Amino acid sequence: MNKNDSYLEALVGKDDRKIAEIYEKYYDNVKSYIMSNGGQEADAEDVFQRVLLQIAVRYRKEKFEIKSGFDNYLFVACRNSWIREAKKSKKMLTSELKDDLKDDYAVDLSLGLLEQKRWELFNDGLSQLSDKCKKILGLYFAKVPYDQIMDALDYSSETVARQRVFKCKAKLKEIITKNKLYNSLKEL
Amino acid sequence: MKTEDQILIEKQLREGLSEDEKAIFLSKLAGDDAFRQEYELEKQLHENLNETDWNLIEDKDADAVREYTELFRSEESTELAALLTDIAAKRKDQQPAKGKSRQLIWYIGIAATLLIGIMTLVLLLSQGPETPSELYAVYMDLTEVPSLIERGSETDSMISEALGEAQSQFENGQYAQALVAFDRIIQQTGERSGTIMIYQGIALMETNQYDAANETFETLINSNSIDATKGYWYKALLLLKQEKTRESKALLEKISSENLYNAKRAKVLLQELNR
Repeated sequence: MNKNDSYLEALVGKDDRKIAEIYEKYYDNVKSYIMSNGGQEADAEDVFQRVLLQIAVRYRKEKFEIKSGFDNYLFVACRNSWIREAKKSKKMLTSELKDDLKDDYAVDLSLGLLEQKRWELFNDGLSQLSDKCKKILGLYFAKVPYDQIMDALDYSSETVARQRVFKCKAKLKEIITKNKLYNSLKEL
Repeated sequence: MKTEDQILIEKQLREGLSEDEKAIFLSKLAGDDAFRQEYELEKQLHENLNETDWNLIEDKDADAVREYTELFRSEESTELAALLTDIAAKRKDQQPAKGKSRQLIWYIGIAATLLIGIMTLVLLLSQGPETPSELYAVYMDLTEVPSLIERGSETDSMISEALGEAQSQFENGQYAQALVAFDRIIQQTGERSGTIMIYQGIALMETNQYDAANETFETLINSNSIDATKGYWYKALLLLKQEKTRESKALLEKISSENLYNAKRAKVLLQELNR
């Protein structure tokens, strides 16, 4: 059994020694990320626990495979969970229907888990593109203006940069929409 | 999909629409199915692929949500949640108490760092082989990357500010923005220092732009920079991340035998890869 699977099995099997090892090895990185991005230690504890629960439930349901290494996967999932919290808070501030946005803990964990699956689907699509496409789309999705994209990547004009973005985006959409998971996640 | 519609959707998601454009956008959204579907997909692309945004689920009553909610409410999950709370609490109890003098904490910090270093080494040597990507994560230590801002240097204040911003984007994992910032700094200063190349290479590596990262480290290795030999170390990590273990090992051998940057760490990593 590889290390990824052994941690996944430990979570499902509630192996306290192995789970303590997960905390020992990986919690501090998550804590330092969250605390340097506007959170408190309690937020880090909450995020870490939520993500471990989500990983356990997901593995119990569908035996998913972690390709990137457990540590990397766990960190990215925690970072995403924290970005999600920020987005939710922002939405709460701007919504008049605040009560509708408050979900109970189990529903919120489910929403977060499905959102993470959708995020993985989209990012997996992006990873299949050429380095050039990844680079230009990275700037495009970071909302870098076209004149700066043109300068950064040495395109002759903004029109050329825009055409390149459209081409890369079309390829990306093709990859994502062809993925069999897409239909089950797109309309959530 | 017409180009003008694509531009309208893009503008709505990137910089925002004028009042007139907004009216056209809303009317298309309400009356044109193909437009609405295209917008939904574009919105998902933006929210999933912007490093600081997130794509929240709208349909909370969907079957998939209900299925997972059942599992989170199950006895299994409740027990696991209790166990996690318990482990976290025990771990917290073992942390050193607050309120010690700063000097003492500093000494404890040094001792802890040494201990963790030794423990990591012992762990690395005692555990079974890890995957190349796990080893990459262990050995890619961002804290050893030198700061972009040199203390006491007479760098132009605008450049210093740009360097500070780029470094902060890099540290926050906003690699795409950091890469743009590095390009701009290089254009403004007309030079590409070894340190900037290290930052660029890591940012490219972290965004999976492997060919570009390789080119950057090659340029660093062939440069006259004082940091040139660091290029071998980062290139070895790049190969590890790509699971090109054989090539990575060859480079680590070179680092170790020629006593290049991080020669000792290269030796330990080699031992780990050879297990």
